[in-house]
Amino acid sequence: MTMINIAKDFSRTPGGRHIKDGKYSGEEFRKKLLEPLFADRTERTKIVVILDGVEGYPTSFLEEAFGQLARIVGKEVCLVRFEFVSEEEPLLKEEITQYIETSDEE
Amino acid sequence: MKNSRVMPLILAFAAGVLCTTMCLLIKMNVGIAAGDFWKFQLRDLFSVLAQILIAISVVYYVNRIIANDVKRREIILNIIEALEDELAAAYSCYIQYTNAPQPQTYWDFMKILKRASRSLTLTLEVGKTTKCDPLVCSANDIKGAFLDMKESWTENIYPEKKTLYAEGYSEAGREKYDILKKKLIECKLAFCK
Repeated sequence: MTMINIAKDFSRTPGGRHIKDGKYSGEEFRKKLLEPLFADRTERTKIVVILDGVEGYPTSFLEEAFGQLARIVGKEVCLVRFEFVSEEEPLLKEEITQYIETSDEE
Repeated sequence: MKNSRVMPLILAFAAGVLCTTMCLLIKMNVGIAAGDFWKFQLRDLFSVLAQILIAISVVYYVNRIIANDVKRREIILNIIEALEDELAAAYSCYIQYTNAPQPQTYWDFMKILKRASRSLTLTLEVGKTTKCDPLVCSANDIKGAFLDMKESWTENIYPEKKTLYAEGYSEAGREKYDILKKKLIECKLAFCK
């Protein structure tokens, strides 16, 4: 099992969608922390993502990080491997799952 | 309902049932060795007692239900109103940011929105635990409307953004906010029926 604590391992202030939008973007998060975990496509170990401790998540950050990842590696593998933890904002789990599930609709 | 509060209701009802049973037994001449006059008097006495006791327990029970229901509605309505206030504060901050995007305004907005999201979750949880039908039934609708609104408000915004929004952007945000508000009002009205 791999654990990612966004506030500790990335930033307490997640930014916008693309790297060109500024620091701590969803694209930067995906490339630095998420994509390396999916280098081996047969890997199925759980990735626990702790969402608490940040100032707030803009939709574009979440969609770019998780929605775009699902478009790259496949939504099924994302749904199987990710487990989201949020005490502060429980709705985030549904929100991110929704981005992964609808990633192939765009 | 606490046991101590239910006890008088159970006792009154049990006594009422006992009196009814006695009344029926006398009527059927079971186990009663008294003369006709006393049988008649006893039967009437038990009959009147049974009616009084059952009536008292029913009135007491109905009163308890009404009192609990009114209290529950008040609590839930207060929670929804507090949530509406938080959403209004978040909207105000959102407008402030769209008019003059600054990193500090952005973070203020994100914090308020996070708090509103937490309040919404708590409201829906309270609805579930108290089995408040209007909240439980529309929980998915309300959640969906909130996520739509959040998406509209935070899509493509970031702290460093210095330019103003494209025309119509905040109108879309307003529209989503109105939909959520409407759903919360519908929920409140359902409580007041």
